[in-house]
Amino acid sequence: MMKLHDSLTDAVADVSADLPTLLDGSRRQGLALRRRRRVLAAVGATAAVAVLAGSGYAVAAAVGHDPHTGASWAASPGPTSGATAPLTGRSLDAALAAAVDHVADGAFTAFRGNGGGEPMGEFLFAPKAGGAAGLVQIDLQRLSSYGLSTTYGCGQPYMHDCASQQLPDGDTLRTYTDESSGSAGGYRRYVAEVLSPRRDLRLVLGAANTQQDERHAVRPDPVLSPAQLSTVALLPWWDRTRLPVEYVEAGRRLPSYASLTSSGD
Amino acid sequence: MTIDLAEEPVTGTRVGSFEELVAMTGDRMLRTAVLLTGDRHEAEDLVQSAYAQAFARWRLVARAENPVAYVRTILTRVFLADRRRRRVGEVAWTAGTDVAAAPVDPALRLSLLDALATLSAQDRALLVLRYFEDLPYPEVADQLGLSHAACRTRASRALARLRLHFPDLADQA
Repeated sequence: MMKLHDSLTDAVADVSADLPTLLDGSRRQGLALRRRRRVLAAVGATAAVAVLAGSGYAVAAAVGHDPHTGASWAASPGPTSGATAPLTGRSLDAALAAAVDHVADGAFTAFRGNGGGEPMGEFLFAPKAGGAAGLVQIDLQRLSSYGLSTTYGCGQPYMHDCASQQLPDGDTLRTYTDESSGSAGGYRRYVAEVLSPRRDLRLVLGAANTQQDERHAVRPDPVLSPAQLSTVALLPWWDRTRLPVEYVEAGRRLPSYASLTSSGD
Repeated sequence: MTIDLAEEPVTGTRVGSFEELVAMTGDRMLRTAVLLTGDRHEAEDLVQSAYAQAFARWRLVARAENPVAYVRTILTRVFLADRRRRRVGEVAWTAGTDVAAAPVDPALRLSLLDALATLSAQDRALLVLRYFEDLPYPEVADQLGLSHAACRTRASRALARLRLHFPDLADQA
């Protein structure tokens, strides 16, 4: 006679987890969840931040270089044309790299990301000015799923040096320093968030002084400043589902890329 | 997708670190997830989502009376919530009625995973929790939000359904 317990056990006897990958992915997804939950409680408004003007802003040609593979790629062949294409994890990384390249000199490695319902992108950026490479991350979320008001303040205990300002186009920019999300001693992450009701977008852009495990501080300060992050976060073409076609093309040519999901995007 | 686990008991300290929890339970959770989803890649995503939620609320999980059970509960709820959202590939059961099962061609031999996939997500979870995880019926019922009686009834029907493919199945609910 067949015993269900034994049959179920036999059916998955050869299944074993890739524990390092599982641990890394879970930590990363868990950190994102923590950050997202914190937003739900954010209320109020204060302070001011410099505003990047001009809706026609476009990222000029940017060339990245991967010191591990020796490969180079052009994140954008020139100013964006205005045409867009569906966003992928690759294109999100390419767009972010191009935008970062516009505000800081350095090298990009270890691209990871995903498309889908909540696109994420990240890479390590080593500033030309020196120091170890640090993590740069972007997360594009549907604003309406949080039920947030347009007031976007600094009331959370993990926000240090926080500033929030409503922009003329109705978006809100908030910047702060987070020293409590990671498990590393000396962890520091600069964050620039854009809340855009008209695009139904919450953009979270962060730069840390850790690498991708977020456990060991590798430098005193994050690799991008709050002002640099703000410049990147305020680019007008950020969207949850589509990006300038130039970055979609550039994403296909990224010299190294790893998907954060098993679906491969 | 986040799952509200505020009602979970939180007492004592059982697990030293998140890394320890994943190392201790990762294989087991993945096997459970494969049985639930029937697909290795889906199972990996499901397990990662469950551990991510555990990581996000680690202070609660670490102090839970049984952190392993806590994570398994998250896993089950994430799975069911995801299936409710997608409503893909599910076979609907008509609750409370005894519908005659369609005759099965004995020549059609299904693997156990294929046979599980013919069940609704809730029935699949029920059988996996009861017969793979060896949880008692009251605990399975609690995890699935069913009364104990409904849990046993569903188990009986799900076993009957499996028995169409595996006539020598010995288990009774």
